Amino acid sequence: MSPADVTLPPRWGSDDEVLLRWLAADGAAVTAAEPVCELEAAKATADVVSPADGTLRHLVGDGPVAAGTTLGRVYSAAESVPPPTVAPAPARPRRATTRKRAEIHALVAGRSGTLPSTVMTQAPIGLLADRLREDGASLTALVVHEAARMLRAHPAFNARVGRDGTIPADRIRIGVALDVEPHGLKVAIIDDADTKTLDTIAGDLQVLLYRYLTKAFAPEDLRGATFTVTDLSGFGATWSVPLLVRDQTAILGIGSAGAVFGRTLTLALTFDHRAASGREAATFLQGIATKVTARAADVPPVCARCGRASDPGDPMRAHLVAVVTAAGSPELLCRECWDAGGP
Amino acid sequence: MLDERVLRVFRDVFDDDTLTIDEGTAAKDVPAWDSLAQVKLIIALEHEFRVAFTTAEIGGWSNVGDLKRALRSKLGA
Repeated sequence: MSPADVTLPPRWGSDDEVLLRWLAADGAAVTAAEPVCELEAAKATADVVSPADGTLRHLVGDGPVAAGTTLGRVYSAAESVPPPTVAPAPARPRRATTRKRAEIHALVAGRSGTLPSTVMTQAPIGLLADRLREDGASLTALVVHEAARMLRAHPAFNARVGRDGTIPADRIRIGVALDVEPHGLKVAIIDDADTKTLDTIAGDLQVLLYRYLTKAFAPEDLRGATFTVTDLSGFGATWSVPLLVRDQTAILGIGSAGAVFGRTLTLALTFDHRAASGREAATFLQGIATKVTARAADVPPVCARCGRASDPGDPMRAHLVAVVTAAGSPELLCRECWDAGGP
Repeated sequence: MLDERVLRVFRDVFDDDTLTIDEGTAAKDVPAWDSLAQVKLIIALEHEFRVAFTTAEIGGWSNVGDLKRALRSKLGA
């Protein structure tokens, strides 16, 4: 009988795999199917499980692992366990995690040799975010939807820059940055986003969020984005100026401001000036803002007291009045509620 | 029993011990019920009831009634 090899899981082993950490110590007793180490590739993580009961011997330490690498071996009780071959990691100063180093690597590569520039715009969206949430969508989904369709007319932002110039991508694959504690930053892909409805994109995002929170990403979920969207509006960011990602010419940051009298969406596009001009970037960005604003126009403001929407055909609700409550907070009231007692 | 367990999951996910829900409760009734919360609900319900929802079911509910019907279907109740 020979020891059982601990190997890369199926579908892994192409490139860029990193052994993040051993979950079971060198020399530890392990059982079959017990997770013994954590791997990462293209920001996806996967646990590697023990193939058998026995004593685990590490064959590699933390760090990159090539395809076909045997990570460790499990020796049964009937087998003699050889001495350790991997030196224990020395105590080191606190430093960036492997995952963070991979993120830094991608972002540094995105800046290397590029000419990054950022243009910004804003769009009043009123109560659109609330309406989207109630419909099972989100601002992120809407911006992805509009940006993807706008990219058809602006292929320079769905491209990479090669030695001979800008090379447009043959598909529109939007990477959406996900960052929920303690799972870390990952960028998940929505394939062919320009061909999908808002509902489909919202559904895709839900599935990607599910895979993200359950650590069920496959590497293909995370590889090959041609354009990235990062939304910090949920964290209270008014503006964000995103950093270019490796092999992309543009990234779109979302923020928002305001609340009571309607929110304002802020958009910031960082792009590689080698691929497009500032005018082209501004036109692209304004195109997205215009689409979002038009959609917001379909969501009228509502009275804070009775909850009914403003209605041009109803004299009591044609215009909502901005008031300040006794507690000092602003709100909108319809004429009827104003007449009934005001603020 | 199922109702109580679903309510407990909702209260845990939204971190609100006073939250009440009925069959018609939807995202518009719970300000914190956004797409992230929806996915957290799915995961918490999967753990609570030891079921697995399909990709099509994720995000396929419009209110608590839909959710409970999906759960009862999975549980054969």
